[in-house]
Amino acid sequence: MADIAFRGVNKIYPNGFQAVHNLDLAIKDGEFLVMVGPSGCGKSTTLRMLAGLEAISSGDLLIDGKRVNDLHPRTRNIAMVFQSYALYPHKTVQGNIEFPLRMAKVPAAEVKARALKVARMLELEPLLQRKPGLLSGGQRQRVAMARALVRDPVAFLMDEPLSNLDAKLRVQMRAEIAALQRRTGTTTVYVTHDQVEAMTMGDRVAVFKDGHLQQADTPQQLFERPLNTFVGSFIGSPSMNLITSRIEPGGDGLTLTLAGERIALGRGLEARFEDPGGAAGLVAQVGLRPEDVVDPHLAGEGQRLHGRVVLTELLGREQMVYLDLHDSTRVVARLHADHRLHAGEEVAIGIDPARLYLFRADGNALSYR
Amino acid sequence: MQMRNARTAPYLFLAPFVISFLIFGAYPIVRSMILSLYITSGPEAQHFVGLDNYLYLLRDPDFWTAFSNTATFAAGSVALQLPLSLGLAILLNRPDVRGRDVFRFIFFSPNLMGLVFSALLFMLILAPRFGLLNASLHALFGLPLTTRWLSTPELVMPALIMVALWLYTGFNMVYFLAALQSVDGELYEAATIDGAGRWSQFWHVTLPGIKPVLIFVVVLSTIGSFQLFELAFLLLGNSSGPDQAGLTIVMYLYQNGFLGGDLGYAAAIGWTLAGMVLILSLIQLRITGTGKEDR
Amino acid sequence: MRRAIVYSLLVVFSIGCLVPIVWLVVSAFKANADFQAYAFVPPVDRLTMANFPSLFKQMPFLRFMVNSFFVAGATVIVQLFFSSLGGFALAKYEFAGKKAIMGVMLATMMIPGPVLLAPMYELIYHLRLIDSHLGLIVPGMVNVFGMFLFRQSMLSVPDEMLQAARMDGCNEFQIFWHVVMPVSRPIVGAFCLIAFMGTWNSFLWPQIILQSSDRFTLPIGLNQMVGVYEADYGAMMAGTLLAVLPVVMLFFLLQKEFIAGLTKGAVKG
Ligand SMILES: Nc1ncnc2c1ncn2[C@@H]1O[C@H](COP(=O)(O)OP(=O)(O)OP(=O)(O)O)[C@@H](O)[C@H]1O
Ligand SMILES: [Mg+2]
Repeated sequence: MADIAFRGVNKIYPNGFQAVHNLDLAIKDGEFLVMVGPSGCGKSTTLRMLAGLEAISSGDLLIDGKRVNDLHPRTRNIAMVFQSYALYPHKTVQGNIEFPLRMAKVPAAEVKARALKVARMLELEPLLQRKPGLLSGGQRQRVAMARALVRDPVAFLMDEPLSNLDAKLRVQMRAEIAALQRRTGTTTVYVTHDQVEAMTMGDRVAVFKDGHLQQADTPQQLFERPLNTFVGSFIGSPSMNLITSRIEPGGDGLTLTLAGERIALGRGLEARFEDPGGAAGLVAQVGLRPEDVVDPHLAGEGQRLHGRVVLTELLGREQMVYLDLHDSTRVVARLHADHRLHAGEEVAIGIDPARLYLFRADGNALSYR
Repeated sequence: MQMRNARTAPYLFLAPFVISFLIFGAYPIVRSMILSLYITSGPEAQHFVGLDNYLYLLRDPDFWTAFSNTATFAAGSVALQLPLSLGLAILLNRPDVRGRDVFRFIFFSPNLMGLVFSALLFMLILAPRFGLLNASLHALFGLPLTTRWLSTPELVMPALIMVALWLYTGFNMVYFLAALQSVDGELYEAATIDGAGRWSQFWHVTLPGIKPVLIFVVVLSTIGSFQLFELAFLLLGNSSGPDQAGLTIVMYLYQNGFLGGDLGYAAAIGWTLAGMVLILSLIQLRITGTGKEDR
Repeated sequence: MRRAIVYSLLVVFSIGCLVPIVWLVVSAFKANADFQAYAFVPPVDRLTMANFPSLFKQMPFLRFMVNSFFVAGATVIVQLFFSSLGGFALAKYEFAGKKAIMGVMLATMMIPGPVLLAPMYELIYHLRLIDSHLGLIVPGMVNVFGMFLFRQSMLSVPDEMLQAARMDGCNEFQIFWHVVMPVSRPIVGAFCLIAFMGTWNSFLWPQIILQSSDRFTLPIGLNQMVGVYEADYGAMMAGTLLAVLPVVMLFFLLQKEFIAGLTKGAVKG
């Protein structure tokens, strides 16, 4: 069990490319941390520096307060599950699971016992004598986890471990991994580019972009209080609509000018933002999640936008409606499907000011309460 | 520490190979160039002569005999082996042929005998009277039993070419078959749809598909043939045969360097051979137009 | 109809390939007197085992065999170790000088072997290894072709597998030994067969180096015997047959790997 801390860590590859910038991130003992971000943002690089497979260019990596920058992977006692599983094809399942113990010169009897225990935990016992080539994707995945778990590592790293599985198995394994982590309580760092995976599995989620850590928070915090437009639109599916608008004082509180229409915000924002009044006079980006669009009949006076439907997608009981506002800003709304909309229709959508997100022109959110 | 380990590891891993390579690969090559400028008598006595070895060589009729014998053998071998092995490979690659692996093994089996032991075997097969070849030719075509393949100057090279044909056709065929099998089957289907007949399929799909392997085999066969020694030396009873009809370049090198004791001259012969082989390979590569667009 | 033609061609060539081999086997059991009378196959009751005792009586055949096994075995093991380790380094590590090393090796592969005979003889002479088995083994340690064969094949071992091994506690050599070599089993098999055949059949270099008959390898020994016992055809064929058997057996053991290894690199360009 271990605390892990990155202190001002940079990674510059030999070709001069800087993949990680000044990373500060602390992972608590027993925590399940998910690193998420678009392809190439430096997740794997970060994970591999933690594993000891990649040298740290500058900064400190601490495990339980000790600087481990220069330790060989095996002395860090960290285990890793690879995207391709990287099982040894010439060894049986049992041979694979036992291998790390044998390398650590654990006595033979103990090797057997520990391998068996882990195999039982992951329901691999009947497969112990098979070679990896004869296993299904999900079984291989479990062997890879067993091989990682068998050493009682202080931390458990996984780099996109589910991306080689089909959609259904992925959902199942997602739950299994999360449950397993809860049971063993091993500090786990999990890399994925799938935000759904991140949000459902992690105690905390760290969002990366272009080698910079954007925000590390619980899934709920990330969703409700994104620190910038990138996190706001990366988390949640479909993405948050971002609409440029002016914030002005007016009436009772503030008003927004969105696509030529005025929206009265009232006092709805005060519950979430420290000083919404201070935003008066700014040009800002307003974030509106598709699922936060409400029935125009339920919306208050001056809390509606009008536009023309461009496209609709029916998703069972709901429909995804793409519409263009008057200044042709594209907005996506997720609405009930009991009243189907069609392309070309002029419609109104309702807005709940309490659910809007406000970002400054530079993309950073107004300070949350 | 780990990083340092992974950084030094490749050097440590290469060290045994590179060190022995320097001693037994690189050094002899350099030494050979120097040696070729000396007349020697055994490894101890050496006398610098500059390029005289090369000049002498070019004027030595024995060398030219050796050259023409070797060239005849190389031309005959390549000209017979390659079409035959390619033809066999094409036959074997037909989808309707069963027992492909068995045939491939049979064609390959002479190669398992190895050069030296094949030569010992063919010494008897080519023998007059009781030899298998004469007996077969007699039984099939009524030819005389007394043909002396290995002591008639005109028959020596044909005999050697024949044995080489037996030895290497299957070996080359394995390469061709592998190459043919790696040609994308859909290309043939596409060509058929485009209305290509058998011949134009061969020209436009098969040949381009196996071209790299074809060139590889042609060049290697030529280089190998130019180093002919064992087959001739053993079949001809450790001699150069009647009227030097079986004298090859490497045999000339062996005789001068190791029977005559002039290592310097042997080195000069070696480099002359290397030069010939190099020029020949370059010509072959130029004709087939490789080296530019590939790789 | 077409198929019939195809098959008859294949069968004709098969016969051409096989008849000399069959003839070798038959001749090994043919009495010397019968070589003249029965050019092909003598009646079964005339076949004899007598050639084998005669072979062992006429020359130290067993000695030759043992020598050959020793030289070929030692050469293959040394080559295997050096080439696979070097090939691994070239396939799976980035380091300064790698390109240069590969370039030099490739260039030396173009130089025909006979060029090296004279300087190598001189070297072995100065190392006092003339007429010794070490004089055969030592120059054969370097197999550039083998190293490229291993490099080519180890390129396809996934990096993640090596990293997994590193995480599992292997040092760099253990990665090679416990993971890369076992995964490369087919190419190891192919290499062993190719290298074994090469050494087993090697003639010119031993012919130059060896002088005492108790150090002779099979090719040298059998060739010498031909000169001395010209007329004992049966024993000669018996010796040839026995000399070929080890390669044949090794081939059957490793044939799948062999074909794959032989054509690797060639086909992929
Ligand atoms: N060895 C290397 N040398 C140079 N640049 C590299 C190297 N490895 C990775 N990079 C670069 O560093 C950046 C981060 O790579 P990394 O593998 O960490 O991305 P990632 O977030 O894991 O992406 P993905 O989701 O595609 O796996 C990428 O732009 C990549 O091109
Ligand atoms: Mg990655």
